[in-house]
Amino acid sequence: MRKTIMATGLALLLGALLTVPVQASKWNGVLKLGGIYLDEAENSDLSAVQETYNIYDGFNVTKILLNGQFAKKHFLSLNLTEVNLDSRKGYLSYRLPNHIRFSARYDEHRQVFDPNRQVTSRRKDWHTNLGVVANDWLRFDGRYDWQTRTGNRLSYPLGTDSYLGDSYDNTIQRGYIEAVGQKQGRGLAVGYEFTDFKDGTFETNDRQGYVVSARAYGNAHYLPWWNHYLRGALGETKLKNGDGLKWELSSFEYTGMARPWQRLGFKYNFYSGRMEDPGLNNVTDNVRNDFDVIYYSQYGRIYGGLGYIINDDDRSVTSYDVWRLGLNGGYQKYITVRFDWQNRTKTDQEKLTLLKDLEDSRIRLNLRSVYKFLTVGVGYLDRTREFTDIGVKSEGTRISGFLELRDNKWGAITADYARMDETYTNLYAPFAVMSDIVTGRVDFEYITDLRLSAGTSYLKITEDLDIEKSIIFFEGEYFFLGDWSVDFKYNVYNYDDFILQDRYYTANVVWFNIGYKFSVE
Amino acid sequence: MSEPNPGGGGTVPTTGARATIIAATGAFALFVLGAGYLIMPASPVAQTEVRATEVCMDCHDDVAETLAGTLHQILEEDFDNPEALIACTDCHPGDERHWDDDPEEYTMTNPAGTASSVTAAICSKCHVKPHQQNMMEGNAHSVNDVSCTNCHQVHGNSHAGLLQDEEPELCYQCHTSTRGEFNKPFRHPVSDRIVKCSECHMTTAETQKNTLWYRGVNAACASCHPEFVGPFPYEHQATVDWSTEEGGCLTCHEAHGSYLPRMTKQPYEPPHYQLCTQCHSVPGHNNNTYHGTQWAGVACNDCHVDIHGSFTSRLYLSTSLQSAGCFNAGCHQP
Repeated sequence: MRKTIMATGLALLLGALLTVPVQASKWNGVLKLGGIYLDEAENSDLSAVQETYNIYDGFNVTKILLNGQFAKKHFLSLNLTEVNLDSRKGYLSYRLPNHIRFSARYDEHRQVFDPNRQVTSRRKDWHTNLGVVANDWLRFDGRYDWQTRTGNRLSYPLGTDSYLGDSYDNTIQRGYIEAVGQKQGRGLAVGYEFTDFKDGTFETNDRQGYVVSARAYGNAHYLPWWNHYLRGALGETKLKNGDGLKWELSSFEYTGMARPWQRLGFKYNFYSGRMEDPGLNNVTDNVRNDFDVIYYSQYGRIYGGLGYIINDDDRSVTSYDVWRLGLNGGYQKYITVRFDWQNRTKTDQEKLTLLKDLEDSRIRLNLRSVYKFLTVGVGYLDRTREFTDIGVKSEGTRISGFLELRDNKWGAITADYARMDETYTNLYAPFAVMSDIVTGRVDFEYITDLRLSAGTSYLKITEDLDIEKSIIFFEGEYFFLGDWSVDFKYNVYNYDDFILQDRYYTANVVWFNIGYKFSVE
Repeated sequence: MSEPNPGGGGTVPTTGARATIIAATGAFALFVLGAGYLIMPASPVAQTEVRATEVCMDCHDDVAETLAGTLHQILEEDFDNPEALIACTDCHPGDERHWDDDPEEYTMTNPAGTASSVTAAICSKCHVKPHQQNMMEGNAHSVNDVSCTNCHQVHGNSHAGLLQDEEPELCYQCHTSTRGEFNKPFRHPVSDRIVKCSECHMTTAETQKNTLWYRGVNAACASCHPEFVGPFPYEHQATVDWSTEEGGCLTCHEAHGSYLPRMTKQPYEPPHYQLCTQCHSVPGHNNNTYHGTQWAGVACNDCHVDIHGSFTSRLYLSTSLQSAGCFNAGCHQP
C-alpha cells in the first residue's frame, strides 16, 4: 500500500514535469555546509536533556534548498537539512496552481533511554499529502503517513515481562482520502481512512482499522443566516491476530449555527455515538446536547451555554451537566481581553463506577496590550478537578506574562514567564510541585547584513521535586559578497535533578556553517 | 428491542437494536439533509457577487506576483476567464463601484480585516476540509475570534500550508506559556521541530475526533503510540476515553510535558504510587485479607506490568507470576 501510494504521488509529479519544456525553467536555492562540535561533561546522564538527543558531532551538510519554476505555472520545492546526519529532515512539494498540490515530509529522530546513551530507539516518519482539483465543484484530498520505530527500550520496571518487551520493530501506516463536492457554499464530502500497525516483536499486537465518514454543510435556503453541519461515520479497529477482537464505532453529529440578528447568534450541537468493546464486555452509548448563545458587539462578543451529556455502558449510566461563559474582545488593536469559565459535574446515576461523581471547573483570563513598539500580556488559569466520593482532588493555577519590544531598525526583545502551582491529594498522600519557567531572547538587527541573537530558557521545579534546567544560546549570521553567508550558534545546557533521579548533565554545543545562495534561469 | 439492564437501571435496548436505531437515524438524516443542500439552489446573497480579476490588475498588478507558486496563483490566461477556478473577488468580495466609481468609498473586503466568521465564510467557499468545518462549527479558535488570517497569510508567503510562520513558533505567539511546558524534563519533541502542534491538535483529531468522538484524545495519541491503545482482550478502563470511568491517555499522562518520567501526571513510584491511587484509592495490597502485608512497598507495576491493557490477564499481571501460582483457579485468572 505504501509503495503504491508513494509511487502514484511521484508518478503524478513526474508526469506533470515531463510535459514542461526544460528551457522555460527558473531555479534558486541555498547550499549550506558546516559542522557541529558537541562537548558533554564527564559522568553526565546522557538521557537527562531531550534537546541533545539528536545532536551529532562532526561534518554537517546543513541545508540544501531548491526552488524551481517551470513554464510559469509548475512549482517545485525541495528542502533538506542535516542530510548526512541521523537527524536529517526533508520536505518536497509540487504545485500546479488551481489543479494539484503534492507534498512529502520526512524526518527521523532518536530517543534515549539510559544514562550512557546505549539504549536508544529511532523513529522515521514520512508524511505525504495530495490535493487534486478536478473542476469547480469537485476536489480530492488525500494523506498518507508511514512511520517506523526500531531499536531498544528499557523494560519497565526493569526485568518485568510486559508484552511491550525491550525492543521496537514497529511500522504504522495511516491513509485518508476524501472527495468533496461543493456548489455555491454547500457541500457533501465522503472520506475513507485506514490505519495499520505492525509490531515485529509481538505479532499479537498488530492492529488495523478503518473509518468511513461523510460530511455535509450549507445554509438553509430560505434562512441564509442558518448554517448546518452534519457528520456521520462508521468504523472499526481490530487486532489482526486476535480472533476477531475489535472495537466497532459509529457516530452522527449535527451542528446548527444561526445568526438571525447582527447582535445575536445561536449554536446547537447534537452528537450520538456508540462504541462496542468486547474487551470491556460492553457497549457504550454517548449522547450530547450543547446549546450556546453569542452576543456580538463592536468591542467583541460574550457567549454562554450549557451542555448535557449521557454515557451509558449497560452496567452504569453517567451524566454530565456543563455550564460555560466567556468573552473576548478589546479596544481597536490596543487591548485584547479573553476570559472563559467552565464548570462540569458528573453524576454517576447508580453509583456503580469506581470513581463515582466528579466536579471540575476551569477559569482562564488573558489580557494583551499593544502600544507602538511594545506588547505586553498577562494570563491566569485556575482549574480544579475533584472526585468527591473517593477523596481525590487536583488543583492547578498558572500565572503567566510576556513582553515584546520590537523596533524595525534595532531588532527585538521578547520574554515570557510562567509560574505553575499544582497540588494533588488523595487518601494516601499529596503531591505538589511549583515550577517557574522563564524564556527570553534578544535580536539585534541594527547592522545591515548582520543578525545577532542571544537568549535563555530556565526552569526551576520545587516543593516535592527539585529540578533545575537551563539552556543559554548565542547565535549570529552575516551575509557578504551578495550571495554568501556565515552563521554560528553556541548553546550551553545544564540540568540538575537532586531528588527524583539524582542526576546531572552539562554540555556545550557549537554549530557553524557557510552558505551560498544561487539562482539559475 | 430491550432487555433488563444488568446494572439495575431498568431496561436497555439490545446491542443490535440500538445499533440499528443510531445507524438508521444517522443515515436518514445525512441522506435527506446532505442531498437537499446540493439540490436546493444557493441563497440569493451568493448569486449577487461579482467575479473579476483583469480589472483588478489595472491597479494591483504587483499583487499577482505575491501569489506565485501557491494554489491561489491566478494564471494570466485566466485573468479574463469568467469560468476560472479562482478570481480576485472570490477572496475580496465587493462590487463594480470599487473600480467604476470611487475605490476609496466603495472598498473591497479584506479577509484579514474582518470578523472570524466572515473570514471563515470567504475561505470556506473553496476550503472545505474537516479543518475548515471544525473551525466553522466553533472550536476554541473561532470561539475566541481567531480567524483563518491569524494563522495563514495568502499573499507573499512561501511557508507550507501558507502558515504565517513555521510550527511551533506560530503557535507560541499566542500560546506563550505552552513554550514553557515544552521545556519540562520529559516532553514531546515539539520545540525540536520533530513533532508538530498540528499533528496532535489538527490532523488526526480533526479527521477522527469529530467523526468518531469516542476515539477522543486517544485517537491523536494512537496515531504514534498504537501499541498502548486497544482493543485488548482485557481493557483497563482508565485508558479508554469512552468509558463511564472518565478514562483516556490524559488520565495518567501530560500531553505536552511533565516533571516525571513517562510524562505521567503523578508519581508512579514508591512510596505512594499516586498515579494508581488517584482511582484505586481504597487501600488494597497494603491491607487486603488475601495478601496481608506481603506486597506493602512493592511497586504496583512490578506485578501489573501491562497496565495499558493485557492479552493474558484481567488484572494486567505479568505472565511470570504464573509460576508463582498467582494465576491458579480461584485467584487472579481468568
